[in-house]
Amino acid sequence: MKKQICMALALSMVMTTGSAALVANAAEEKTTVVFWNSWTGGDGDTLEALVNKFNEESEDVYVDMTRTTSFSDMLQTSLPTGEAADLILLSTNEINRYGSYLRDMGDIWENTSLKEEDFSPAYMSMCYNDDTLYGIPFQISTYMMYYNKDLFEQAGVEKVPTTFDEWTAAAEAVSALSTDDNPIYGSGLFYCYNGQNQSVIQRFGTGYLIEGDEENGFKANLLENQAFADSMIWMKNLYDKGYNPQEQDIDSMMAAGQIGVMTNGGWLKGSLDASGVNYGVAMLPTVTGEDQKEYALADMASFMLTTSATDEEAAAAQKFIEWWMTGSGLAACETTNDVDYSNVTPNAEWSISMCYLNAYLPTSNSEEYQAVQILADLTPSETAQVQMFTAPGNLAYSDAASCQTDFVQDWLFNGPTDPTYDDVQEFFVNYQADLEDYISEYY
Amino acid sequence: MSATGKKKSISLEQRRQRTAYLYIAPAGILLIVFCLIPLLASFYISTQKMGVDLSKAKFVGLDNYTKIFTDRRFLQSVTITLKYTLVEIPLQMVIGVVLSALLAKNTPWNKLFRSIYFLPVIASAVTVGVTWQLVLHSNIGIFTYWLKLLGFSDVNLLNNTGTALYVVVFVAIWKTFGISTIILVSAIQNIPESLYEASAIDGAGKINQFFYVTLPGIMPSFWFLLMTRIIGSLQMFDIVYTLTRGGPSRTTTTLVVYIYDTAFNSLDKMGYATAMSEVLFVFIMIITVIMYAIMNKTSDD
Repeated sequence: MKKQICMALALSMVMTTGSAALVANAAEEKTTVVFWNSWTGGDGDTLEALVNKFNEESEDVYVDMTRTTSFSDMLQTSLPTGEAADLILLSTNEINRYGSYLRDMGDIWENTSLKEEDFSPAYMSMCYNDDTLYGIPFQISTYMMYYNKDLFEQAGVEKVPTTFDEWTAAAEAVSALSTDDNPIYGSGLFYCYNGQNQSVIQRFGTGYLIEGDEENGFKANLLENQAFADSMIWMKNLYDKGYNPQEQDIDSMMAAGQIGVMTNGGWLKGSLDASGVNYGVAMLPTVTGEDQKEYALADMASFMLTTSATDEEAAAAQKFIEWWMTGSGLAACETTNDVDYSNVTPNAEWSISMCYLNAYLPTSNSEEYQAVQILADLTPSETAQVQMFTAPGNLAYSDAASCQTDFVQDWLFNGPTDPTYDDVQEFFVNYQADLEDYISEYY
Repeated sequence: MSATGKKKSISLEQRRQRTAYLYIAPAGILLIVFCLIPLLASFYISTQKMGVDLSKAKFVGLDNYTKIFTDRRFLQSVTITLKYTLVEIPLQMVIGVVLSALLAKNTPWNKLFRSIYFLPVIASAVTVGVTWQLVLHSNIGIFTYWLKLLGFSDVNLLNNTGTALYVVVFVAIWKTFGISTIILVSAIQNIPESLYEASAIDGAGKINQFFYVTLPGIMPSFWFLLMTRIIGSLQMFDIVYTLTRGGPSRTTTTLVVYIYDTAFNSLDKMGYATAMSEVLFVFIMIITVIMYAIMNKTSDD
């Protein structure tokens, strides 16, 4: 018996060692691409599954992905030492900040079957800086309006708001459903997240926080700006009248059925689906309701290669990007019964299942993509304003975004009640001066 | 002593000195590598305009320093830091002294309480911040729920500009009072029992013993604790960052939170952020020197 046990142990050791060696050999034969990103939410699980599928299919490339909430910290500390990931997903607004540590990706058109003309020129231009291509569009996170269908019905709101006045009216009606045991708020603006706030502020027609160009000069755009004043007065009134909670965690409240209407990106969809709340998605309102397609205020994330990647790793990463655009996905998304989703690309699957707009034209023109109503609705006009916060070039993006967070909070917490245009002019003098400082610093 | 003998003794002295220098060399090297060089490097960075990745550096002299004192956000964050320190330190010290006096004897219950009070000290600041965020959440927090049961409505402590800083003070004290208590308990236990016996013979009661025996006896530890707590308060970052991120409306943005935001969220303000941290360093150094002087004078007394 002892002999048999020894034999079995020896055999299992040989098998374990053998299989480990096989795995090691398989990994050794492939070029490993280290891939970092910050997709840690529900959408990240789909990304993980797609990367796993690529690793199973690819014979010569292995993508080693890390999804982390510390993405930014990891990047900042590892890029200067050359120890960052080879491939990253990064907002195109960050190209200026990290440009010196990003590789020129212009050779992707020679190394793969991808063609530049297959990408939307408006979005593609955001990936360039001084004629150098730093990224390939991954997703366009457009902000959209989420609304609670049940609360709308109970409050007698029949029309989904297309103007900000209708938003306020719906918020008032839904807020009236609130009780001590179950507080309900008609409106769900975040006071602390600048993307979500800017998505509504710019839709008032305010333009960028800094406007102008090199020829005509730049100017801060807060004062003597009727549209900006209107947006601030609208926001303040929602808070002051108690229609909007003074809370950071609006997502959870929406998932708990306590918010009537709110703004957020596609990443919220997963948690709302999981919560079971009966919600709808639509384009965000504008002042008139007739020019909704003129704004696609979004944050575009792109695949980018860092200078930490060797030529071999960069080439391998480009193969992964090519697969992302042209390979086959998980065939797991079943958005409608009318369209066959069994053969869409990973890129299309990502867009369709997560409600992210897509810059890759074969995807955005595909039957499957077009069949998703909300994606068709969110697709902007060709002349739409797509950038947020700053003048083109995004040099002052971070500072302008930070300034916006400051002034929105300061205004909401410390601004006068029942404010007027003149109150806005008086209150924002310091913030106008801040933006003027950024102009002298960056332009 | 002959001339040769003198020569020999000097050379022996030199040899001894050389050996002594060899002994302190490792500590000296560590000080140079981890303190002196970073100090000089950070001063160099503070004279540059550069990004967080230290690229595109441009020499700007002392411009970053002159800019500091006209930056209203810097002045606001200094005010908040001082306010935080002035509220947190007295509370922390009083709680530490009172609890240490109550828990000084080595009874099983006292040992149990000391261990319980020490638990938050070993918890990470991130865990503490996130946990208290949930406990105090205006909508789902258990503390908010209890207050509602007691008849309070619209309880929103973390998103209120009037209360957020005091919540941070409370959480910071909750996290660190255990270590203050333990240090002071050790100090009390080192006071000779004979002093208490003598004071009892002289007719001193428990309260008089506390004020005239215990407090003077723990003064060296008390000053040390006070000094380290003040330095810690002036450098407050982790709990603020995880609990409020400096909000709402910057009412909890301490100086170090502002320095961090400036360094990591701007395109090219690493130099400016470093200049602010140099100013903080000098400020803390001045306070430390003053505290040392007071501590030494008190010890002599």
